[in-house]
Amino acid sequence: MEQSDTDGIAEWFSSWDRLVDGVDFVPARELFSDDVIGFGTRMDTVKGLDRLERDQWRRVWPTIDRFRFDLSTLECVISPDRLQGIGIVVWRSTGYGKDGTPFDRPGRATVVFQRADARDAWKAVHTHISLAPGTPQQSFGARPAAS
Amino acid sequence: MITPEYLRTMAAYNRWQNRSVYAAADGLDDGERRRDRGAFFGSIHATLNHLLWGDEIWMSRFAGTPGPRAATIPESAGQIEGWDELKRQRVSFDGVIEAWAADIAPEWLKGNMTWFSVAAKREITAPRALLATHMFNHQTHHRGQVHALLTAAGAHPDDTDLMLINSRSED
Repeated sequence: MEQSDTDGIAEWFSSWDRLVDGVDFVPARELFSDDVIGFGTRMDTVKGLDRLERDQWRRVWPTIDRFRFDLSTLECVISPDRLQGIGIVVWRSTGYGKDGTPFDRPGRATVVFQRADARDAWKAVHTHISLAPGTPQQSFGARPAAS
Repeated sequence: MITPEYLRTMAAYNRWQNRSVYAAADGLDDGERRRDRGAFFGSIHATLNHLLWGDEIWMSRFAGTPGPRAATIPESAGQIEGWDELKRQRVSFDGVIEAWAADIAPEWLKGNMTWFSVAAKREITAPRALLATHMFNHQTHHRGQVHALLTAAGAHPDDTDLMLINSRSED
């Protein structure tokens, strides 16, 4: 494992964090494999980027604020050939109740990455995004999408 | 020693005053809001950006809420580019501060807090009560600058006197 491998994963989380926060779906897709598989606290397993965007991203991102990965918690595992990586990291965000009252909305993420060449940028092939225990499962914010 | 009730009052005052200055600033065009008028952070927009950033960083230390996007004080003045987004986030974060103040226990105010200050480049330990007071004092300091900038631009914010908080026209 080289420093650049984990730096690349940190950069990936940093990029995604800004796009989630900006409700910016189109450029976010560039960070993922078309064949990504994922699940979440409330979402069953989905296969494919289109379904992940439809069933998770578009249901959640517009309803929350201030989504931030805490990169000080990032832990990475890199395969010996440096073509597969795993990143686990804690995140925080603000959710909203039905009456608009904000609440702390923390959670954890596990992302599996792949690339065809060790010089390439990482693409996510699996995401598991989950809320911390005790966090309300639904947020009721309504932000417009940037794309 | 301050009390949880003090925090709740100041959180409500913060929301009231932010509504006032944002409403006054909303009546100016974007160029007027971004004009460098010689304040510490230059413009109305930049000062309000820094103010939100300051609240976000202190609340992240007090309550573990998400920290600000900008990493440094100089970057804070440009943290949110769009006026509408800055307005929206201000309203949202004032709710975060009020929700925090509503749940504060007296015991929380008795302890110390240790954090790494990017500005001072060292770890600092100070009483939580002092730091919570600082957050609201910091708001008043920079909102006062914004008030002066608004007045100079011909806008008219609402009353600012703390004792009028219970007689404000809307909530």
